[in-house]
Amino acid sequence: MVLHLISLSDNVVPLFIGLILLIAKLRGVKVYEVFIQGATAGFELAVKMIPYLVAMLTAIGAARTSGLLELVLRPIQGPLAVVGFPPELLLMALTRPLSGSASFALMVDALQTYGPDSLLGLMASALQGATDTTFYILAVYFGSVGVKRFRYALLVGLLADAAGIMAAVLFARILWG
Amino acid sequence: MLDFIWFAFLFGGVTLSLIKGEPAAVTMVLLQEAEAAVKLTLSLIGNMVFWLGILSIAEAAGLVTMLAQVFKPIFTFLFPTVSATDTAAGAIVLNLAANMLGLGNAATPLGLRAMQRLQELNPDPNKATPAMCTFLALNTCCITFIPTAVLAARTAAGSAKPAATVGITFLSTVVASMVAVIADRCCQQWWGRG
Repeated sequence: MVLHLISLSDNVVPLFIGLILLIAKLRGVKVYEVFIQGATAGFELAVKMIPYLVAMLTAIGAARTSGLLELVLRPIQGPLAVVGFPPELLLMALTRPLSGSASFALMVDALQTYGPDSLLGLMASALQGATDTTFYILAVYFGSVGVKRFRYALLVGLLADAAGIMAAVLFARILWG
Repeated sequence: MLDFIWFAFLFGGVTLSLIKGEPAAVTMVLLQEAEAAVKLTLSLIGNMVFWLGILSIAEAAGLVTMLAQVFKPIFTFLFPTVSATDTAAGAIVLNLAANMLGLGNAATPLGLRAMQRLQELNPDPNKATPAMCTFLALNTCCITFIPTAVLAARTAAGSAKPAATVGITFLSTVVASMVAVIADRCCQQWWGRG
């Protein structure tokens, strides 16, 4: 099952590239020339988002290392436990929208501490997959085009994160107790 | 909102480190993270250049517009301000599809291409448009069929059923996406369309 899923993901890329190339060639597209033309924009895009990413990652790093996040967590730990949110995974849930690599590390830690097939291990896995790193995505995507005012995008992203995380915990409780 | 959160994170982090009497750790993290951000971007460049090249071949062959046509009804519902025949439409559809299949490497350059095109349609280049907000709302909680990284980590941790969470991950992302679309619509009303 897992192997099938992973190999499906593995196969998609070469299939996709092959198909595009074939159809383009059949339609008389000068593939090499067009590739270079489009690819040139990639460098500029990447360089453009550096300041946005530096701003975001340093602020998140400072909040994490100083213990600010834990401090913010303490008052909401109690109410969340009442609705069935395990306190062990709270830091991971809060980290998820901020830093994908940090929450991934916390998930691996949970898998090792509680076992990958324990309720907490399953919950941590579901939680990691349930949303994406909102802050990173907004910084990269808006940064690449130079948009500085995100308007309500952050609010919507965080609401969706909260919904995804709560749904993951709820579904895990229903399925595995 | 971003302005406030950014201020709170950085100011709060620095202040707390001074109160705790361990300012060195935060100083080090600031420098480390700044360097990590640049390294991350540099490591993305090759991937970005490659996928943008492939994407322009697909665009030149008319495949991107074709794909956008297939998803026209749902696209026009989600993005009423963008024409379904626009280059942006195809790039958005491709980005979301790549995300769903767990192809993060391909998804980002495709998404950036979409943003580039949406920015060309933007009357005020400093400010996000409603279409951009909807697109990123869908991106931050994208429906996931195959959580590739989680599967790999569960297998590595010796799980007897590594794919156990695939189903609820999918359902959770569906819930998150529905909330995102509804919240996005409400915010559009409250913030105005300007």
